[in-house]
Amino acid sequence: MIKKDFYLFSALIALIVAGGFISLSSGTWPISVSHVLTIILSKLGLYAGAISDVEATIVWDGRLPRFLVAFLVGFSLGGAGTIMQGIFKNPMASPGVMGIDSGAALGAVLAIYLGLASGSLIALPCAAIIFSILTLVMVFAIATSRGRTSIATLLLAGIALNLVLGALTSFIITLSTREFDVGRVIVNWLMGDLNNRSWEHVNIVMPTTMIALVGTLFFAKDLNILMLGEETAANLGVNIKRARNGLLLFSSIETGGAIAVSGVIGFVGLVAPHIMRSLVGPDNRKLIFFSGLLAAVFIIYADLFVRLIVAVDLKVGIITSMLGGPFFLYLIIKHRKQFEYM
Amino acid sequence: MRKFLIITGIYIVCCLIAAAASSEAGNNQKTVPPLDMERLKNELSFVRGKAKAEGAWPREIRYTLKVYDFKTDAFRQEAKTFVLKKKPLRIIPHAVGVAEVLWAICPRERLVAFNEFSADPDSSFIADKVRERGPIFKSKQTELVIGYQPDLVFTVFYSSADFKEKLKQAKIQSFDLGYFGTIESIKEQILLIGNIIGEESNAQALVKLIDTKIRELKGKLPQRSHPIRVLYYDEGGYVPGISSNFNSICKIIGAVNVGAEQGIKSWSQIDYETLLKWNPDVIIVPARSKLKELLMSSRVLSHAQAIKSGSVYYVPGVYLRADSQYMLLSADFIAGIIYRQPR
Repeated sequence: MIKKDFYLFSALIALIVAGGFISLSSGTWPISVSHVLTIILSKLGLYAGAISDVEATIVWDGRLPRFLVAFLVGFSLGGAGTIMQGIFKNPMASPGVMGIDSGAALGAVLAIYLGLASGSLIALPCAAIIFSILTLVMVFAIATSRGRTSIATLLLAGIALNLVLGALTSFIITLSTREFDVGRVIVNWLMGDLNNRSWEHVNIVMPTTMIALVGTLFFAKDLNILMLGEETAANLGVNIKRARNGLLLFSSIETGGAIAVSGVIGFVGLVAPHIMRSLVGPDNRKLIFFSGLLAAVFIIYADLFVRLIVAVDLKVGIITSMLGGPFFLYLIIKHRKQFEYM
Repeated sequence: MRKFLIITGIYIVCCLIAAAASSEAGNNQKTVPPLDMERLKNELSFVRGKAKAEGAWPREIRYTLKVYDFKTDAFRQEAKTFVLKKKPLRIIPHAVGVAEVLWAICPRERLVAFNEFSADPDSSFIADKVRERGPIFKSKQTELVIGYQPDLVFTVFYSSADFKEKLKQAKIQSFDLGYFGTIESIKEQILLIGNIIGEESNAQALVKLIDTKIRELKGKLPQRSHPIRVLYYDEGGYVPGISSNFNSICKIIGAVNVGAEQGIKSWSQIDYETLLKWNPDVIIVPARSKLKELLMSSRVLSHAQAIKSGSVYYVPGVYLRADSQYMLLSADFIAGIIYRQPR
C-alpha cells in the first residue's frame, strides 16, 4: 500500500469510526460516548462495572446492529458496483444492471404483500435473496448459448428482466393499495429503510458480504486483465468463463444480501467506484475494497442524516439518490468527451 | 400393541390440552366491551327521528367545508353554498363513512349503489348488508356510477378529482364532504347529510343517540387516577397523532393517544427506540399482522412497559378506520381491551 492509499484508507476508517460513535450515542434516547464505550466493553467482557440495562439494550441491540447493517450494505454495494463496471467495461453499470435489485425487490414486496414479513424478521430478507438468485440464474440462462455467455446478451437480458420484474412489483403495489398499511410498508421498503434493524439482519448481510469480498478479491487480478479485453485476457492465461461467472455470482450475492436487509438503495454502487477510481486508480484489487469503504461512509452518514436531522419519515435510499444523482450528472458532464467515443 | 395405543392416546390427549391451553393463552385478548357490541351496532345502523313535515325544495344549504391538508398537516376551512333543486331519491355514497351514515338515516331504497370499500369487512361495518343488497362499484368505475343515473353522489375531499370532473361532465350533482376524523366532525357531517337528503330528523336522532351512547359508555368506564396511555403501531412503524380518528376514539374512552401526546399531527413513523422512550401502557396493533409477536420478541423493546406486561393487542382494521357513527363501536371495543389492564 502506497502512502497516498494509506492516508485515504485512514481517512475512510476515521469517518466510519466517527460515524459509528455518533450513531451509537445519538438518538431519541441520548447516551454519552463514555457510556457507549462502557456498554461495548461490558458486552465484550472487558468491563465488569455496572451499566444501565436500558441503555445497554438500546446501544447493543438497537443502534449497533443498525450501524453495522449500514456499513455492510454500503460495503457490499460499493464492491458490487466496482465489479459490474469492470466486467461490463461500462461506467453506467451498477449492481442493478443484472436485474438483481428488481428480483430482490419483487421477492421482498411479495413477502410483505402475502403477510410473511410481518411475522418473521428473516422472511423478507430470505425472499429477497431467493428472488435475486433466481433472477441471476434466469439472466445467465437467457444469455448462455452453447456454453458461451455473451456480455452484451447478459446486459440486455438484465435490462429486459429489470423491466419485467419492475412491472410485476408495480402490479403488487397496485394490489396492495387496497390495504393502506401494507402499501405503506412496501413503499418504505422500496425507498431503502434501515429502521429497526437488528442482529438478525446483521447475521444475514455479514456472511454474504464476507463470502463475496473473499471471492471478488480472489478474482480481482483476473478482472484487471479482463478489462484489457477478453482476447488479451485469454492470451494471458485467464480462464475467462470462470473469472467472469465467479465475479458476477459474488457481486450478485453481495447485492442480494444488501438489498435484502436494507431495501433498494440506489446510486451508491454507481458513484463510489467512480470517485475511488480517480483516487486510487483502476487496480481492482484495491478499488473493490476502497469503493466498499466509501459506499459504507455514504450510507452511514445518509442514515445519520435521516435518523438525527430529518427524523425517520425520510429514507436512506432517497438521500443517496438525491446526493448521488447530481454527483453522477457532474461526472457525466465532466467526462462527456470521453463518452463520445464509446 | 395395547400399551402402544394407550401411550399414543395419552400423547394425543396431552397435545390437545396443550393446544387448548396455548390457544387460550394466544386468545388472551377476548374483550369485554362496556356496552353490548351487537346491540350498539344495531342501534347505530337504523335511526328514525320523529316524523316532521317535509322541508321545502329547492333548498340552499350553507355550510363550512373543513378539509385536512395532508401536505401541510393543517386544516383548511371554506364557507360554501350548495343548491338542490329537488329531494335526492337516487343517492350514491363514494366513501365508507358516508355510506354508513346514509345506511342509518336514509330510507334504504334511495341508496342506489355502494363502492367496493363499503362491501369490505376490513373497512366497513355494513359490509355484509351492502354485499347482500348491492350493487357494488369500484371507486374508479365512474362510467358505472354514471350509468346508475343517481341524482346525488356524495364524494369526500380525498375522492379523485378525475371522478368528480367526470360526474360534472355527466351533469350529475355531487356533494363533497369534508373531514370525518373526530366524533365532533362526524356529528357535523351527519347533520349536514341529513339536511341535504331531507332527513333532518333522522340525522338529529342519530346525533342524539351518539351523545347518549357516549355518556353511557363513559359511565361504565372504571375511574382511574391516571389515564391509560395507548399507542397504535402499524406494520410500517407508523403512529397516529392529533388529527387521527384513533385520537378521537381515545378521547371518548378517556385514554391518552401517545402519538398525539408526543406532538404527532397526522401520522408519523417511529422506531423501536422512540417507542421505548414514549413507553406506552398499551400497544394496539392491526389484526391479521403478526406484529404482536414481532414487538414482543424485540430485544430493544424488552424494557417497555407494555411489552413487560404483555399489553399488546390486536384490533381489527375496521375499528381503527371507523369514521362514522360506528366510531362508538371502536371506542367500546378498545375500551374493552385497555380497561382490563393491570396497573
